[in-house]
Amino acid sequence: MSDLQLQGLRKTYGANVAVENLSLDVRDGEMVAFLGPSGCGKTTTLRMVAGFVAPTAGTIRVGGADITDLPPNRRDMGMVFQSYALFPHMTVRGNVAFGLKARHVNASEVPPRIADALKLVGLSGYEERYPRELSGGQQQRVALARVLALRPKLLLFDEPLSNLDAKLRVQMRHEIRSLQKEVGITSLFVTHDQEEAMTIADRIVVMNVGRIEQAGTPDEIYDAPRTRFVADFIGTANLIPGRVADGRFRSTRGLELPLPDGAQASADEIVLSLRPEKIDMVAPGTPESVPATITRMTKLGSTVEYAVALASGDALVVQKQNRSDRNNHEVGGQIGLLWSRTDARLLP
Amino acid sequence: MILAAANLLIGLFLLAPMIVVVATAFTTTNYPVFPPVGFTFKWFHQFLSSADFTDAMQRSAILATVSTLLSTTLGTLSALALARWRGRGQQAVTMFMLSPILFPTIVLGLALLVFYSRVGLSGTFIGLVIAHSVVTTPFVIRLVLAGLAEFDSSVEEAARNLGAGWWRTFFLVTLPLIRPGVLAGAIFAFILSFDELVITLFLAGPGMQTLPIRIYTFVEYSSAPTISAIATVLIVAWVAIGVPVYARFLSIRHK
Repeated sequence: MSDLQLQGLRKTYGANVAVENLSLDVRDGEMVAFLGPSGCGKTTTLRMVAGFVAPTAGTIRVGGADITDLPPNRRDMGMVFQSYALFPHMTVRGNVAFGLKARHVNASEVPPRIADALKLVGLSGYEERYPRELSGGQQQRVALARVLALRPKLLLFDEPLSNLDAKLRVQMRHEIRSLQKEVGITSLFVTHDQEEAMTIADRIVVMNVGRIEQAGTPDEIYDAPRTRFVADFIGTANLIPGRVADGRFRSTRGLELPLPDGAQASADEIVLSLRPEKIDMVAPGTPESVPATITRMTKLGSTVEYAVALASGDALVVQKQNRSDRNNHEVGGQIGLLWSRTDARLLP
Repeated sequence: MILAAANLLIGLFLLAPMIVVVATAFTTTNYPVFPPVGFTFKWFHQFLSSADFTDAMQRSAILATVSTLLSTTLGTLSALALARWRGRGQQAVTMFMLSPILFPTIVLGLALLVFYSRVGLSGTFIGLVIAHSVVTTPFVIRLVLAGLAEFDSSVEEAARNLGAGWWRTFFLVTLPLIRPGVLAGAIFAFILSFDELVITLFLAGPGMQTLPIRIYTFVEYSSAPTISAIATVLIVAWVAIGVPVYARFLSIRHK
């Protein structure tokens, strides 16, 4: 079993707090993505798990054993770096063999394990190449083979795809995901790319200024964000500030809307969050619809984005599929907006 | 075109003294003249058969080798520490470590002489080794630092992560990658030490004549072309040993 337990993890640099009281349980075989803007503490957390950064407080347990004070070379983890971090003076074989030799794997076992690992990442036949003779994608595959050959307890990914071009990045996401499922190794994946996190992870941990904002499945994070940061960071969201009064939502500008399902009354200022693609545009005057005027239309390729203004002065963004038969909305046109009450959320 | 011509001119300018020195080594006159008169190997013979000179050369070679080993080790470690230092003071300490370069050697020689006579190092071989290392270490630091500028420290982390301890990481990953800078530093240190005169004059004890001192005292009372012969031997040795080493190890072949 190699589940990972982070308990009360904290890292400060002088007066700066990089990670604050972070606790998280990762199940055996689970792939967890740490997602957040730069400086949110996701990389620091990963580096604490890897042993490159000593936590100021807290414990790290793998399979129940406390490894907080172990040096990186005795943690039995495989890390894949953003810069690939291949050894440029060694061949592909030398790179993959390095860890096996460092961990004193039986000499007779080394060649088959190199062959297996390279086969796993689709690079059989590249053994004698040097890293500089490989493309970026191939180099990252070597880095992956290098750690997979060790059969580590934990795989750590530090933004491994950010140096690749867009198409390859998308392809590698799926490859890493299926590889990880195949080998079944518990994994942490740090990224600032939300699509990447949603594709790759069983669970996403959204971080901001050193804290976990929310941890949950990709669906939960997207459809049920718990804070306005999460709603805003993952995808786009219309955030309307206001208060709950008399069983209705009342925006600061005076817009009155029915409360979303399951919303609790609260005297504090809150925001109503609504995803642009969950709003329907209907004929003006449709019952229960909110009247609006289209102020801007932007074609984004597969989708069309409308900026609409409500009578109260609140502005919303609405996103629609770019389908020819639906393209009958003009700038300046009057429409009605309709959405399901389960799709709107009140957030603190 | 202009650049090529400029290069040619600079090349000639740099080469001229060497050509003159090599040519005068073969003159039959009792003093160096250019162009040489006649052709003879007798000055080479005189150099190689004089124990005075060959002993001095051997002593210089040993001294340069030992001080190169010392300064290359210290300089490399120091450069690694400086390159990794994040935060305050890094610039100041780096400048301090490089400052012996700016020091007039005659001042350094005097200072070391005063210091050595207090601690009992004056006139000792180890004293010379230390003095030479003081002069050469900053050059090693400088050259290794330059090499480290494009060093991606995540390869070291990768090595640690893959299970390598500190020593394995250093010798199998770090050192091979910074080798060009280290070797450049070592070659520089060797040449500087082998050539060092001023400080050595202050600190060398009796019977510790290095080759530069021997040449210096020789030209004080003699103008025989023997020194041209010595210079020629050194130039040939450098071309035969130094240049191939330089070409072989200083090119960054990876990346």
